[in-house]
Amino acid sequence: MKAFFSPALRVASHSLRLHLRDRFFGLFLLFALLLIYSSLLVGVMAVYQERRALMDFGLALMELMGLAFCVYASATAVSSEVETKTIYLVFSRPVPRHSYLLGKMLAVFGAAAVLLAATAVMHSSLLLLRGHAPDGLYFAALGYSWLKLTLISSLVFAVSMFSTSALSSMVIGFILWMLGHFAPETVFMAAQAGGEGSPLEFLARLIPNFQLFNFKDALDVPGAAAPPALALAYAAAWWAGSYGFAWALLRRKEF
Amino acid sequence: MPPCLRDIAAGLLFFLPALALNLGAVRHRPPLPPVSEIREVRRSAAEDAAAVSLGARRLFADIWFIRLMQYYGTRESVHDEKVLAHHEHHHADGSVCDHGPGWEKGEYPEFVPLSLHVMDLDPWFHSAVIYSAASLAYNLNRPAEAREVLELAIKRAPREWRYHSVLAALGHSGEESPREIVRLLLPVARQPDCPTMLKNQTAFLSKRAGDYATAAEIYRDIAENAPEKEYAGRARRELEKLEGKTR
Amino acid sequence: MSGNEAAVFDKVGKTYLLPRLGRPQPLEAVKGVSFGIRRGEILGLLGLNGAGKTTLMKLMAGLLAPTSGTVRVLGSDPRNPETRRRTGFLPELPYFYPRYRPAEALAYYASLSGMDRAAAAPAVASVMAKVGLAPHADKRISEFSKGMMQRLGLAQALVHSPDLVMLDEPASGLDPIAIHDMRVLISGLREEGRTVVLSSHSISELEKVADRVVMLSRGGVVSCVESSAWRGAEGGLETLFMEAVR
Repeated sequence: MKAFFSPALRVASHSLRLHLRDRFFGLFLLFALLLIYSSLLVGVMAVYQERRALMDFGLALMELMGLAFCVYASATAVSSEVETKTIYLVFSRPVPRHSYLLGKMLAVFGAAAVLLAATAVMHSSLLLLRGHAPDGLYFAALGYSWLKLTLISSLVFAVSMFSTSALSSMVIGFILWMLGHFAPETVFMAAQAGGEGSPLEFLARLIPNFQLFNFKDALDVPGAAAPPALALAYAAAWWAGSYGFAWALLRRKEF
Repeated sequence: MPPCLRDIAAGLLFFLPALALNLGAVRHRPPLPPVSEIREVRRSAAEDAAAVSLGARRLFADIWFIRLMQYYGTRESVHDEKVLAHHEHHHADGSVCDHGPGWEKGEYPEFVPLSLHVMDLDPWFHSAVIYSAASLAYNLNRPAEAREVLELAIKRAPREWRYHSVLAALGHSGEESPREIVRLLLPVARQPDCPTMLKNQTAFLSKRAGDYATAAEIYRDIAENAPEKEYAGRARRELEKLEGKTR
Repeated sequence: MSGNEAAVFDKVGKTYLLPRLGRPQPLEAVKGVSFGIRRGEILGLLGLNGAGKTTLMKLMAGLLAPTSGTVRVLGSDPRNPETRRRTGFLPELPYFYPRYRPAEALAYYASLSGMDRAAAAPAVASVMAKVGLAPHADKRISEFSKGMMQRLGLAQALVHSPDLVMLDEPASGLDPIAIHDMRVLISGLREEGRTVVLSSHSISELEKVADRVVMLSRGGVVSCVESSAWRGAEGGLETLFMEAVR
């Protein structure tokens, strides 16, 4: 167990530091700060719906900034080390490839958590400045957003193992994000077009459903997002699938 | 099979548990109208697609509600010209005619489509729905459209009790005693995010029904909390008038 | 493999499959390579570009698997974790995260080699002093010159005190003074009892530091000469190399 996790944690710790020191991380954080504080204007325009407008803007912006960073970080996590040949310095050492991959994935998940936490602090300060306090639903929405970000990160991570460039991995990531939010509609339309149980409908059912984590889009609606245990199990299944897929491609890859 | 394709095929097997979970989970949808039921307004198709694909329907509902308020908050120059032209043509000699209670209040033809669009994106945005219904019923004198908005809202969000209350209250409009209307509207008016206009209407109806204590309670709430200065000022004046009656 | 050998190549071949539309195209990088590396010696791999030097380095470092034949390093498969713990590899033109300081980078690689924090700290300080980076400890790697970068590359290959050190073109892109310093460092490794394998297409470099040179041409070994051979020959190693590859 130690032989599996110890190198993974070392890779994760190093990679997390790299992510946090990455200029793009800083840029996204700064951009988020500007957007969050500019949402004050929207709050003013919303009159007596200021709290709702500020909450919705903030939660959406935080998630979108997180999406942009996570897709970038996942797409470049391994590919940048291959391009710069830094990966030689890792795999010429007693680091199992499965540990390396786990470390890289954990680092992106950790960076997503740090980004969300930092933007949440900014956003909460704005809410408190305007006399609104974030509540349990707010933090629950953040938790679900984090799960959503880790899910898309793991998928982009898997895609980056076979795609020809980091850019194409990022593009695929954004497409998956959008498809994932349309998943229930796609299944419905596929069933209409090809019939219930048709191959088309079956293919549509393979799209990961991000609506399960869209707690922020229905904050005051009971039963909007999946229960926390199911959401976590669902995300974990995709993490495991992406990780296994990435390992299958990396285990025999030569550098 | 080339080794890389073999590895990809082997790798895909790791997705089986996730895909198995997905077969059931993919049908989950939040209790929001499906995409096919989002009506387009002001060429909103691209924006609506963005709202859904970014998982930000609530945010876009807020944006459309702001647009609705700005639209309704702007005097209709087209309508003003029509009124002016009518007066110049028909009343140049100083005569008067009755154009009905809605005359000179504006037509706002996009009001209902904008309201419905907000509801298509987020039918649980109760403040927006009540604002729309109350504006239609009490300001624009279009109760039939107000009921249409509420009935659709109830169809989309049947558990939202506020809609039932306001719809029931509208059902009693025109009756001599507004007590029943006040009874139905009061729980809604006491909500902190109730539109000020509806609070004001409830206070007015309470006064008409002779329930000055309730009217004062609501006017006090408006005076202290309403962001609209006009309503707050009017509420303070009403409170002064009511002082004697509530002692 | 005898106990005196740090590494052995036995009829090793390596064919790459280059991705092409349709079927991948095979490229034979090395074929039928057989030679041993004695413990404690400095062995040079000399050849033109594309001769197979880097391929052999990577085979020893466990980054590649041979298509045919066997490679043994310190008695085991080079991909064995224990073997990797005892070897150090410097790739050509190594890259390090620019915002790190050298000690941070070295500490990371030391940890990946299995050293805990208590053991890594003195090892990092020692290897930085050895390669001459101690005066530059406060600089970020982005401020490093090419020579300093190569020293850092050498340092990461040495930080965990490996028995076998593999250096791929360690003098690549260096100025004469830096090349001299690198040569001194490499010679020092022999004094410590380490085995060093270094590849180069610079004849003069290998001439000055290697005990033995394996000459490669088009993926195969064309000659293997002891230092006494080129020291005694007119024209030195260059003449021997030209004769071998023509």
